[in-house]
Amino acid sequence: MEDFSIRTVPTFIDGVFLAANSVRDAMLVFRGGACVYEHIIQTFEDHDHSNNFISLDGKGRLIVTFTDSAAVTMGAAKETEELLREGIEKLKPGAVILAELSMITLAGEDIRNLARSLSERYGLPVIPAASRYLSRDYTDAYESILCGAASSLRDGCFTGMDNGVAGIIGLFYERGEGDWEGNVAEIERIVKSIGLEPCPVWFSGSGFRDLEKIGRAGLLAALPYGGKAAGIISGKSGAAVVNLDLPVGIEGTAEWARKIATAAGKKDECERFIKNEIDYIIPRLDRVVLRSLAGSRAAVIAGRDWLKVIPEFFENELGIEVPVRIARQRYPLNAGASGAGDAVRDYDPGVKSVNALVEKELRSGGIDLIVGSSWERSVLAGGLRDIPYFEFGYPCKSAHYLKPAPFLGFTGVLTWAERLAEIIGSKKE
Amino acid sequence: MTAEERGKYPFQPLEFLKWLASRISGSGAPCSGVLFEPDGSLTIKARTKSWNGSLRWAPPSTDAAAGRRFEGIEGIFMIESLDESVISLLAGSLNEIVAKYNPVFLEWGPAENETVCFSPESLGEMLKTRLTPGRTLWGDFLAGDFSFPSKNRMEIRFSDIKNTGGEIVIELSLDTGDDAGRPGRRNLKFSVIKDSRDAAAKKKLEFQIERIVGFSLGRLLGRNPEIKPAETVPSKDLSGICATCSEGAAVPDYLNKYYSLVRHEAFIRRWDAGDKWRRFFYPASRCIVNLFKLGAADAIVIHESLECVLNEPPWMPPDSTFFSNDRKTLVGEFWQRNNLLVTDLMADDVVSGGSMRKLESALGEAASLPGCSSVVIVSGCLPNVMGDNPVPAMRRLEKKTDARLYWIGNTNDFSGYTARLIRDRLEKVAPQDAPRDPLGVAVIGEGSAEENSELLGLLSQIGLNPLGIILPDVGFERFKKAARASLFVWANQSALKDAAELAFTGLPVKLMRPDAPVGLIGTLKWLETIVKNAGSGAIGSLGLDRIRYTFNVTERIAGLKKRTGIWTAAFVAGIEEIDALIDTRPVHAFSVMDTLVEMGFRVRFLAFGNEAGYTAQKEFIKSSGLEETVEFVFFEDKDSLDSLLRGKDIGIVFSNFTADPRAVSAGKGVFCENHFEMGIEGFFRTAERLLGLCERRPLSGFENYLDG
Repeated sequence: MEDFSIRTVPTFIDGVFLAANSVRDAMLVFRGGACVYEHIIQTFEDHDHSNNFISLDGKGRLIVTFTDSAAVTMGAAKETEELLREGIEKLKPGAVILAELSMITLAGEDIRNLARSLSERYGLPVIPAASRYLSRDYTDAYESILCGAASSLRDGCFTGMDNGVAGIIGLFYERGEGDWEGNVAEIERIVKSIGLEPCPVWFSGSGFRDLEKIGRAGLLAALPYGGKAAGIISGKSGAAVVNLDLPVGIEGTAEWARKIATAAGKKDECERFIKNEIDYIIPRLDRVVLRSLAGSRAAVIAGRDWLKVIPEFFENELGIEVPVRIARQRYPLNAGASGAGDAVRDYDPGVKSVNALVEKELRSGGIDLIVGSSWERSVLAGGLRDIPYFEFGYPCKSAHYLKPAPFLGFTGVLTWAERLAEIIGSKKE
Repeated sequence: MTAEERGKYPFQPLEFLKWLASRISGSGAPCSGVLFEPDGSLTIKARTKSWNGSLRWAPPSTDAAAGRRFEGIEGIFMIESLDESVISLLAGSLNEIVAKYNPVFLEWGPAENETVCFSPESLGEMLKTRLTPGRTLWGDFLAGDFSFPSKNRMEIRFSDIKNTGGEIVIELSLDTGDDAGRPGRRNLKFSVIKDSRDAAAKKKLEFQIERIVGFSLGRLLGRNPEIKPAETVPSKDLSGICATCSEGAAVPDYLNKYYSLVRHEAFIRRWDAGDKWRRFFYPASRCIVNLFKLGAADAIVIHESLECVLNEPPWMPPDSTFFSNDRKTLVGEFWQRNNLLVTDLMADDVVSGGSMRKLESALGEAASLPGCSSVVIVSGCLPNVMGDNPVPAMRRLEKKTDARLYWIGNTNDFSGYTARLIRDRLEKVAPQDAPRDPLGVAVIGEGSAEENSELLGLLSQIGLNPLGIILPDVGFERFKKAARASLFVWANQSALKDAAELAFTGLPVKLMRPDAPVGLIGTLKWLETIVKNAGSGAIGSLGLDRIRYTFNVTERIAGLKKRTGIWTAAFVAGIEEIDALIDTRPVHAFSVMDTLVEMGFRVRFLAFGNEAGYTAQKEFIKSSGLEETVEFVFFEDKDSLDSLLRGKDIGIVFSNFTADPRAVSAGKGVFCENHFEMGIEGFFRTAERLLGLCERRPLSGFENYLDG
């Protein structure tokens, strides 16, 4: 029996918004109907209070062609060109992201050719982003725009390569609030601490012209969604590429730093840095872990970059068992995994699967914590809503961070411990 | 005298005359009847087997030489064929009744040294206590609204409630002429300018409308107060202040005039418009799927890709979005209430033509869910582009299931399925010939639980049997409760108005759409309109009196006005939309500005441009007597607007944007129509909510730092 329950994996559109939001001077031209703008006002506005897609001063970065289902068969190229020209004149963007809804793609216009011709005409990077296959999700969009940005780098960027400069590529920057400001700062702190000069992280809220500095990097550290883009840049610059997971947890971050340091020949600096960090962290962490966290059981619903590292961190360092792990992606993690129609599956979370998996573990060994986005929280049924919930990931509509609060790196370990101890502890009270 | 005591005598004048006669005769006086005279006199007829006579109680301003006075009763008495013993019996009895009941019919109006203005607010309002539009009946003729077509003419309309089209219009004109003296009663001319009665009918008491109109005016002006002409001609009906029954006729005009400017979509469609900085008014326009709530026995099948569905996720809370959504607007809370199925179209479905198979499969699953009585298909753009037509699948399924199937688009109701869904429910719970409670009433358009409860309570107080509230909740349970209703009356009109009304066509029920019951006057007017149409008769009238009495307990309002009076509510608008803000009834079915004024707030329009462009609006405010509370100030650029918004007395600024940065950076609270609740208690809750925004403006002490 097919599972017709609604899914909570952010769509390709969400990924486009997230990527466009991560490049401060990018203008987003979206070929689609009013629903595109509904998406922003219903979700993104609450997710990231710092976003400026829509503005009361007429300088919002989102431009929609308003091509609805009645107009789609007539094409949207003319409106696209006109709006793009007006937008470039008024906003003077560093780059343009040109996206479209699937119904426009189906109508047959080739967005890649259109982007190419517009880019040539205006001398500006125009990065196409089309779902093409409706099964693609937000991570595909982000990855695709990373690649588009890498392909758009001018030849002039690739001069003066420096082996002491490191480029971090593929950070899935979710918003311009304290949590992600903190994550970027933490990554840059780690890179600097092992004796390297970091370029602006791809992506991290910096402008497109700052991103061009990555052409100087002698080393590219590719995070989970950045491998392909790093390959494109490396192909142009000749930089070395090291593929990495997210730096999460003490061991996870130490390993992350060691891999970069090894590639850059900075092992000794790195070990000194790691020791200092551990000296700082452990005395602050141990009591909270032993008194508040250890022995808890959690369900984690997250993107595959986070899901790959969180369980190990939770279990080995915080003492939290993770019996429920659901990847927020539309396709299976592994070949031979459960089918899309199965109500119990470890990917593509939806109303049925989330509730079934959490309830099953609740009955067997108890669940003390659920980690997931505000959408998964919304689909929890009945008593499952009483389980302590840590809102994490996109969209994150209730939790907002007004000061740096990284979840990555060594400092991130303390943030996780603080937040989870409070959430689990308040329920115990 | 309290309304309860007043309720001890009949409200309707003909019934009152009978009651009075029986009271007088019951006291031992030989009373055979009582009659209103058009000059304000009351005639008491006395009859025995051997003689006939009468005692005529005339206004105090009548020439004293024409009659005599009695101690304790104001007025002149003219006596015909009565001996002293009968006179003292009648006068004594009358004195006793007046002292005990003080009937409003017999009260004298303002004193000789007082002034009555020939205007709706003065003469009109005073007359309404005796001759109440929509309530007072004389025979089969019902008093209608008073109108003041010019500054010295007033018209009082009576229409035949038997729906014969019969109508009588009485004109009252004030002719001060060259009279150097002080204008009074004698300057009033009374004439019938439209008359549907034939000569024979005019001889019958129950057709003699002149009696009740003349008597009421005669009593009101019986002490001969000064009658002052109105200073200006009202340029517009004062219904904005005292809301009248609206049938929504203004809506098309509104749409034609403003829709392109104020739709949410217009905001983003005109992404680079240079006038956005001065636009604050963007009333909601929502997708139809979010405008109604289905019940537990309903299933929704969304036929679309996830990409489309998550553009407006079905679990969206109604608040905290970019635009300030209506507290009552249902931005998809439906997934928790209903069975929600999504076909989740993917590339394979599109390319292989499998989308209809998926839809049929989802429909089958929905219809087979336990207890499912209906399935609503919501299809999006992608199926439209592909040409998917759900109707054949619906027909096939209908042969196999008892569930009803409906199909709406994500933005359109192509074939009237919404109306059909409501109609089906109305007919299922109460077929055409089903017994109905003549006093049974159902409200259309719910508010919060508190508002709903209060409205139903008020309907009960006017003698009706409130059965429940439907819409936007269209669950069967709601309709079952309302099954016996003979009258359906709109309250909150934010959603589905036109589609829903189609559903009632031809049903043996009465459907009413007065303005929404917002504000004290608005709530009262809502109830008055219902009483007028519902036939709850004297009980309804008495209930209204009771409620009106509650309104007149002024302490609470006075206390409120002391707090609100120091604050100004600001509206920002250009000439092209300011009319809509001055009177928001075509949009929201109530006036935001009038309700603010009623609460005691001062109102300031920050108007774009210069004074010359706003002559008509200023004139209207002046003619409405609102000059003291409503003012216009002008701005021409962003800086001057910002400076005006920072005015110290401004507590709140109207805007449809959540936490509008322009108001926030000026240290002001933000409000819009969504803050307003229905009912009497809702009025006070709203006032407190707005006062809270004025009194507790976070960060207002740091306004130099704020950037919104």
